[in-house]
Amino acid sequence: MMDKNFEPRIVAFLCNWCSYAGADLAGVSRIQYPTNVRIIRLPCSGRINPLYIVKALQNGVDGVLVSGCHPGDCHYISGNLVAGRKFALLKNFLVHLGIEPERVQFSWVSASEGPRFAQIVKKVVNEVKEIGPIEKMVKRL
Amino acid sequence: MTEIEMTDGNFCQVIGEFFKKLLGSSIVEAVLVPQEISGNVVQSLVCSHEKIENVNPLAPVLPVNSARIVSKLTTKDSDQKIAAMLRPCEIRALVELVKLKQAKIDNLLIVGIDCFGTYSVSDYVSKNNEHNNDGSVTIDFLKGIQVNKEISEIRTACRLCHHFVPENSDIAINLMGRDLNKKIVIRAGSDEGKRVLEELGLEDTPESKEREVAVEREKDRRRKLKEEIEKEAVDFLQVISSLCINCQNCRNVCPICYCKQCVFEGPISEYSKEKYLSWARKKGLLRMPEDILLFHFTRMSHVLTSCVACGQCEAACPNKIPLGRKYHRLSNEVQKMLEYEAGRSIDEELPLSAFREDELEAIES
Ligand code: SF4
Ligand code: SF4
Ligand code: FES
Repeated sequence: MMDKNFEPRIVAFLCNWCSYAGADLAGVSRIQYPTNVRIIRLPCSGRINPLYIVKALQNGVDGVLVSGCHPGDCHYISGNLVAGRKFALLKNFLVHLGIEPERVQFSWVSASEGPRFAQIVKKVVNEVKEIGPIEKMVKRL
Repeated sequence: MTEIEMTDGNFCQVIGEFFKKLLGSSIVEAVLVPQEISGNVVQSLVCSHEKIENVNPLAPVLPVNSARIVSKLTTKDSDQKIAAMLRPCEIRALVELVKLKQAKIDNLLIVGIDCFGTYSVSDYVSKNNEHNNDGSVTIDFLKGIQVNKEISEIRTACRLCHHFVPENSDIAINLMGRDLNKKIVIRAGSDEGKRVLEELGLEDTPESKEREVAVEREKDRRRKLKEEIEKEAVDFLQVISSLCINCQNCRNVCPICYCKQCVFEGPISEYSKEKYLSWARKKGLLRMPEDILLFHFTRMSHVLTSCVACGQCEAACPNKIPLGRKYHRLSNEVQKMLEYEAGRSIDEELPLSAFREDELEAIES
């Protein structure tokens, strides 16, 4: 059941060169998007360590978004490809262990895609709202 | 001749003779073989052939995954050639370690053997003690296997294993589909193996029909068992939360856990009191020690792509957390997703160092 007043906390790990700039553009263009995201800037999505995602969830963050450059556009050539596999691996076993797939999401946003960034954030926030606060990991550990 | 006739039904002695011959031939400088020592069967590195006394690669016990031992022996230098007698899960772990650059096989002759499963070390040793270490535990075990008896002591990891014939070995000792009282078949699995057998005056024979049938039958049996075991739903997070004492035995024995220094031993998991208090304040309560789940998830993200489901982690857990079956399940899923199979081939790139551009669309969610 959806709690109307539940405001999830989402941490977004964004690549400096693309998604972070995309978020910035969304802000500068005054595009409205939910304030539930806390943004952490990474030098490249390839810098994501599965540990960060787990640690965030364990500390009560309701959802995590990782976003990097579009395939082929990574400034370090293959950082986003490496990130993609690492991410898919983590998500695969988290889901098998009972963590809802909506809580860990991955996307590509370029520096010029302000509206797309806003739209992805909306989608993630809505989906996490739907499933409610994270309890499984926080309560137990 | 590859089919070695049994003189008195003592296959261990026959295999021992093979290793003696190998050592005597100066093809290798030493052999790594499991031998009966102090009531257990453990790996031994042997240089002189009179010390090959109690070889028993068929004892149903696997104290350590020997890929770790081979890693120890070969990472620094690998000039001298050695032969190693390994079970299928040990060979598969070794293949992964080679790819992780933590073992070398250039000067290693891998002798593989069909595996019928193993008991826990304590089960094996206590049974062996009951029988005054007379070797009957191995014989009874194999007799049971030959008549398809359900042996309840076989570890879950072995029950679930469907890679019980040695792939990627230079020389393979074939047991399935044979009457173990009559003969043992030694086959070449590589050009190198062929060369060695020739040098020893043993010739290679093709795979037999009976064996193929026996292997298929065994695979079928295990598939059913696997389905049964997988039905038992275990809430792993719940189990970890209540039973794990964070001793980290599981990572110490895992052949794949590859970090030279575990992150959980370094400064990354040393926090100030204030940090702990801030977490406790935020959550209202902080379970201590606090990093257990993080430890397990980190281990999973490191090893699942290369995990060979040997179950050593489960064997080492003091609280009997069913890690083996969980890793079996999760590694299967992850490897299937990445179209990879741990231990299958030395040439297949590790999945986290390979990628295709087109796969990214599929990951986006
Ligand atoms: S995680 Fe467990 S089952 Fe997998 S390789 Fe390591 S010890 Fe073996
Ligand atoms: S061996 Fe068992 S108790 Fe020790 S850290 Fe691993 S799961 Fe936890
Ligand atoms: S630089 Fe943006 S993902 Fe690598």
